Amino acid sequence: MKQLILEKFNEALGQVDNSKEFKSLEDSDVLLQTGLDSLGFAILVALLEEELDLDPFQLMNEPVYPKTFGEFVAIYEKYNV
Amino acid sequence: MSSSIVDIFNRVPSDRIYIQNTSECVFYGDVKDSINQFREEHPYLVGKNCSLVTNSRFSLAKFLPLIASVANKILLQPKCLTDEVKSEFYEQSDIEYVIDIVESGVFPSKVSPTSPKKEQTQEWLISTSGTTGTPKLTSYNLDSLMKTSKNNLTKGSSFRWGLCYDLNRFAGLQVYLQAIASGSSLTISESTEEVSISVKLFIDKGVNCLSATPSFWRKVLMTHGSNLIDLKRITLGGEISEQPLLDALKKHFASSEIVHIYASTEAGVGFSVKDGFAGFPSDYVSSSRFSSVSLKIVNKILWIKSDRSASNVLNGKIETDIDNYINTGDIVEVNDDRILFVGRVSGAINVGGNKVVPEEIESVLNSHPMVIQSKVFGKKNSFLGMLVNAEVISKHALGLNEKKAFKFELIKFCKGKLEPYKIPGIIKFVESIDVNESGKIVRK
Repeated sequence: MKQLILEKFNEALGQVDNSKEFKSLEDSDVLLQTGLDSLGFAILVALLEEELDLDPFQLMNEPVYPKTFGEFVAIYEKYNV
Repeated sequence: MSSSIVDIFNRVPSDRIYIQNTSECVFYGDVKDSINQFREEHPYLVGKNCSLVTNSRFSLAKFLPLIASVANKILLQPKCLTDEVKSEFYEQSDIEYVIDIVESGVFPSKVSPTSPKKEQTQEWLISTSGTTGTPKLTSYNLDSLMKTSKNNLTKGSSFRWGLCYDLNRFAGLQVYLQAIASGSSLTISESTEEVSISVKLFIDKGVNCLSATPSFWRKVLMTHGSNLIDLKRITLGGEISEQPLLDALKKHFASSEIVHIYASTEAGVGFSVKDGFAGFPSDYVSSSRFSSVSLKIVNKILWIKSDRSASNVLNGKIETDIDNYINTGDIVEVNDDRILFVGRVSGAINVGGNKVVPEEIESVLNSHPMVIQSKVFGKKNSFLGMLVNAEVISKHALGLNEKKAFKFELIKFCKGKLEPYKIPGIIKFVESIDVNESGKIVRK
């Protein structure tokens, strides 16, 4: 899951014209400091939905807004069953 | 007698903070002291029609009351207008001076010959975001703009507003006018700032009232330490406020009142909803519910009649019916005793508060030599409300890797022709696109 998210993360970065590409991301990396803006996140979640047929953020009873990469991955791992 | 900006400032004690950011702080007294000096330095602007241009919200707030103390018409010119629209706006509103506003001061330049004018009520001209292509220019007087502003100076002394909208947009101007009407301070973030910087500023300055789009609020929720903004009042507007976001805000800012507002540049502030639920109670749609606003639903579309709407539209048209209701173009759904917003009649997509017209994007995609046809539509998105999606028929059949390469090629092709939020986030390659009996694309 982490690998897929990283791949789509880089794809989203490319789409919003950020030349950065991450070989890896740490769980503690702060999402809003990765260079991905709101539009980038919207794209990332949409790309993952295409791949997994899942948008965990629309399934949550109690909405959680992830702050770190680790939290983001954990949300997908929890809902992708 | 209509109120003037000078009257509003004169009511407020001089020792109160007017605006602040990380490096500067201006008191109400500073503005009052500068009004006469401004008139002496710029006597030629008295009674003139002025368009205000700036990249800085703070500088605009600093000089706006001074310019408004002398000018006849004040056009709050949004960024990114095409030259064509700009000259159309200037012509329709008889603009005589364009005033560049930067940190160090104001730089007026004359754009058309001035003519003697009769005494008339000051007009504030605000542009819509251009849902149907060309932005509309609406005209307001200060009284109608401030009809919903509370003006209790005693209560106002404990409110510290944060600004995270552009001041030359309707929503930003509403926050600004609310702050000055009750003599509150306004802490101003800039549009170029990262959210974490704005959040830190709001914490440092003790901001306790904040108005923003749902998309901005989602970013606030994703920012470490944002719960340290000691909010008493949260306002959402400009996009549909969904229930999960309202719930998350309630949890994150437990002691704050949460209000979502229905407003548009044409119709003004419609109504606010304070019960913490998405949509609005269906009893709002009855003539006796409000004194100044009436609502009705015709074929699932919300119509609004309000004495707070724009007094005039200088270009384009607003669709009104025989009873003077304005067609909002918003599709609603009645669900028991609740009315929920579904989307726009025009198919316009609201991406984080920015309105996108599908046809504009389709015409760009269709201009690529390898594209036969395209269909653009909005898809619900957890982070921006909606995201632009496109289906494209390519001239040649594409393999998996070619699809990815062509997707990036199309995105690159759109850059420079379209603003980033208009560029499709998801592009799918399809073999056919559905059309209805009149040959129009079916968007869903």
